[in-house]
Amino acid sequence: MIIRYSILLAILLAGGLPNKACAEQDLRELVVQLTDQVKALQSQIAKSNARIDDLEQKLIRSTAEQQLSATDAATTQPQPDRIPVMQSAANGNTKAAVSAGDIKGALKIPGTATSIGFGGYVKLDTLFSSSSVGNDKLGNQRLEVAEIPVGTTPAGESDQISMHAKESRFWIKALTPSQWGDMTTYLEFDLFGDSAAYTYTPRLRHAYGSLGNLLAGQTWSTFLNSQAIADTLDNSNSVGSLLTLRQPQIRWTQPFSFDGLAMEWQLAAEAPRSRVWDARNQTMTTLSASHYPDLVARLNLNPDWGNISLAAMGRQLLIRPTELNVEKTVWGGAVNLAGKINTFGSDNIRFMLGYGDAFGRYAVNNFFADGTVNGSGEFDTLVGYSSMLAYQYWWDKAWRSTVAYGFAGADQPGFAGNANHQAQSVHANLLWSPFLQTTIGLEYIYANRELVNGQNGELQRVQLSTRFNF
Amino acid sequence: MSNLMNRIVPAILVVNFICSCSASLSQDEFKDSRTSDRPALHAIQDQELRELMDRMNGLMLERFMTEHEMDVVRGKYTRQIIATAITLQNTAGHLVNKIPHLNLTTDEENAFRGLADKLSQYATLLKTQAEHDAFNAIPATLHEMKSTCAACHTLFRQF
Repeated sequence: MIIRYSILLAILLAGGLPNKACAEQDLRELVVQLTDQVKALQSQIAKSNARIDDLEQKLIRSTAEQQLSATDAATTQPQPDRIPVMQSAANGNTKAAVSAGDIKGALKIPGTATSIGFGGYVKLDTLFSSSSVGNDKLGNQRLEVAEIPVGTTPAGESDQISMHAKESRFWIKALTPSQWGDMTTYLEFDLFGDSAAYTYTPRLRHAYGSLGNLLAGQTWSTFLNSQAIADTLDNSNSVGSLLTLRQPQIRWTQPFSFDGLAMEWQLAAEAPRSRVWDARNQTMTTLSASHYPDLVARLNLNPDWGNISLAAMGRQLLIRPTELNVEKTVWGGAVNLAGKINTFGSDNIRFMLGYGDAFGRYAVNNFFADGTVNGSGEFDTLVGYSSMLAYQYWWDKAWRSTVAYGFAGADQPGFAGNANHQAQSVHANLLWSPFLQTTIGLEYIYANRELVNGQNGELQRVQLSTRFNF
Repeated sequence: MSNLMNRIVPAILVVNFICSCSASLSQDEFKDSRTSDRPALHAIQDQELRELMDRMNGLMLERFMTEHEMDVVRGKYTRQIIATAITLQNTAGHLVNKIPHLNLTTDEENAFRGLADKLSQYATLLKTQAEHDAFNAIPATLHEMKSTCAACHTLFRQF
């Protein structure tokens, strides 16, 4: 008997020991009980909220009654002068409340269909440079590869520190729906209008309007894909980023889709300008007159995973040698492939590849000519090429980094001894945005510049920047 | 006394055996879903929505695009959010169809159905918010969706 009950007891214990299945059953029951309690709490909260709403309504009615009583008391007093009193809200004439606009960050102008918004940011750049590029030069405030000292000629003190807030920016935008499509206007300014270190002159960046698919005014060249510009602290961005060129233009944009893929083509006529290196007097001439605008065509692909563009440009270069009183022209062109491709999460790759024989002023700011005149007075185009590759990595929602490499070169003729042959740059940064309206970051910049005659120079820089949006 | 013990102990054993079996049955019902490594469709769509919102927020950090260019890209992300929200609505609806195959109790069925309906409602709300450009409200909706997913996973699926 004892043995039998011992065996039974052992079986009982084996079945009754706290096993995983029983514990799980208990957990399920506990969760169901908690769920019931949460439902009861939710019901109680709903009743409390209803009571609060009721009390608020009573308070509003009470306040309104008090205001009316005060107004009645004032109007019954004898008025010393018969001065006409304008209608006011206290007498019951309410004015239309301002409502949100049809675009982000905008308000609708009361009584109109126009939405208007403004904003901008304040940015401070602190630059620790390995060498100065000269007194009151833009190259001390942002990367200007054309100003990097070459050879042994010093341009200023070494180990320079400079601080400025010139990238601070203000913009204003508006949108009005119409039967012809949305009419938009946009103005944007910064303070880079003067190269002197502590002179802040407003500079127009963008000034354009658009109606439906037609745009007219000054904005990014259609040749440039602004989505592909790397996220650097440096205002000039990487070599190979196509100069971040803005110029007056007329542009037509036509969306369409192909096999379910959203696309658009763009055609633009843009302000012409010819930069020509004349070997006879070793000077660079920039002429804004021409018989034809710069013509640009671009195809954009807008898949879910990013944005790709292919642009082609045709332009006429023109010079007017004063001693001959004749003008010379030559046609040239360029192509640019650029884009932004999403990789993992918010990470992305940005790239630009450009090539052409009239690429000069589009490639790097004041670095290459568009064409050259040799000792015999022959005018020809200059083949140039550039590339930029950047990867943006998000450590988490607040921290991000970009590493960008850029290169630009030109097949300079042998007689252009002092002309720029090539340049390259590296940007690497760590940026912190504790919330979306603020960015604080540190960036390392390396750049070098090489002339046709073999002279070269390099620049190293650490930039600390703060940016506060409004 | 021995007769009483002869009756009680087997009864206890039977009851204990039944409890163990029912618990292990419950464990087996969800075994496949628990041990599967393939993420559920609604989890994929939830992840897509979060990435889209992160990319949309990232536009505010851009310095070189004009506001109108950003509005155009914002519109593209909005269309993607709407499309994903519609897909999530359909996926949440399909979750309810799985109930007959899960051998749940009545209370568990009601809880599962309630949570699936809630997920569908939040997906509908998300779609409406995106259509009306109420971007500031979208993170709160995504947070509520995440809480709904966590509650359902706690009750019915162990991760």
